[in-house]
Amino acid sequence: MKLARAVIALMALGVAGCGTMSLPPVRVLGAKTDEGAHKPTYNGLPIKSGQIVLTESPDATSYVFVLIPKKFYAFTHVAVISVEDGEPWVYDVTGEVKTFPFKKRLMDNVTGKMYRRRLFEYVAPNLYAEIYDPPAGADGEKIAAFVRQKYKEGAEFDSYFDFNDHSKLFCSELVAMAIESAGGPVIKPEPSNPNPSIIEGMKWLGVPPGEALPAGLFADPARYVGALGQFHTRTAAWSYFEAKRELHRRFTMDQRMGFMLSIDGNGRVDVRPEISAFAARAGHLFDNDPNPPEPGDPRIEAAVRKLAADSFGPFPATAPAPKPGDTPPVAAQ
Amino acid sequence: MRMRRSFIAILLLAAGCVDVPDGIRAEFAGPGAADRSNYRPGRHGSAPPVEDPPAPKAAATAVTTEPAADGGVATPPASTDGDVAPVSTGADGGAV
Repeated sequence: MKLARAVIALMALGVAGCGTMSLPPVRVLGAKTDEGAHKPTYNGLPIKSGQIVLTESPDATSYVFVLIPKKFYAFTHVAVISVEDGEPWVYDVTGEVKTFPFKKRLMDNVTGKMYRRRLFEYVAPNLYAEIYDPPAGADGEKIAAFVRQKYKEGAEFDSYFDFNDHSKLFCSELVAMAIESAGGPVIKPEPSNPNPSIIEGMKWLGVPPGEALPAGLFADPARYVGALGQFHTRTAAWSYFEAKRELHRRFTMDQRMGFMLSIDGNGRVDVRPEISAFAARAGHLFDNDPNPPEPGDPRIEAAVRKLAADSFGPFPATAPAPKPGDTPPVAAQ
Repeated sequence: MRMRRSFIAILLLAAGCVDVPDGIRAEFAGPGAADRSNYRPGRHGSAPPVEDPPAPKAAATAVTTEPAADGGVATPPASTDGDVAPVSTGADGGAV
């Protein structure tokens, strides 16, 4: 995730000159409600303190995030809901890039802090968001109290993504700590991508490869509460995520970052147009289906893999195993 | 106007400060003719050529559009990619 942060810095250079634009409306795309613990409380959503909000950024950086962990994870950012006087607020810690990279090392130009925003205001700049109940054993009120306290303390963003140093925090670190403090499970980082090109990028940024704490680690279908965003349906959103899963699956040990991403003369990273077009098309695969599959339905994977084969050529259903001599996972080095 | 020139000068200076070594630029280079990219439009080079698996019925249904009104060949879905393509919003939604 350290690489991700640095690339955010690169990307921010790109967006700095874009000015403002009106944001598309946020739509509620689904809600899991019942007469028990999930009564609708806010725009049809059963919102409660301590719920986890996962978001997917519309920026090209999301195609960098997807390559950082060894395993695929959906979503790019995670935050916590706190209901205050009936209104859901979202607390998160976010890194920003200074307007200019005055320092040679990109990571030295990233700074950030905790934010408190209304739910829809928070979701609006994103492509998509899903809300999940906290893990079993975690007290939602305590999770919310934890993030409120960190906000009050003025916790800073950890621009070095060091999960073992809690003096500064990054988004998933904050949420993992909040859940653990509330009696929930201990959430540990996952191995990062052993692909040599990714390792090279992380070394360049001065970020030790080996670990990642992806936001999507907090997404558990069994705890799904509701969805909102710019897609028309959850099926469209999860078809888009399936496309990113396919991109990750195809990023085998012999692939280079440049096969999916590009960098310009000023260090701005972007996603190659054929890659973003593929993901965008995936989001429309079931537009005309009178019986579209729900998220998790194998029809989504099958359709996306066919689209990938049509777009980029066939690829084995099972990715080739690493060959002898391939770089082993950094965590094992 | 003078202030604006200074601003541009700072921008150029800042851009020049980014240290992107040649090795990293090479990692971001697009696939050459000899590279085995799994993302090349058309047949990719990494996996052995395999035949397309039979498309599941549902998948085939998913990409089928309504028959053309004139009874001719059905056209592929209109491109409506714009609403989910990555865009630069200038907002901080793309957080870490």
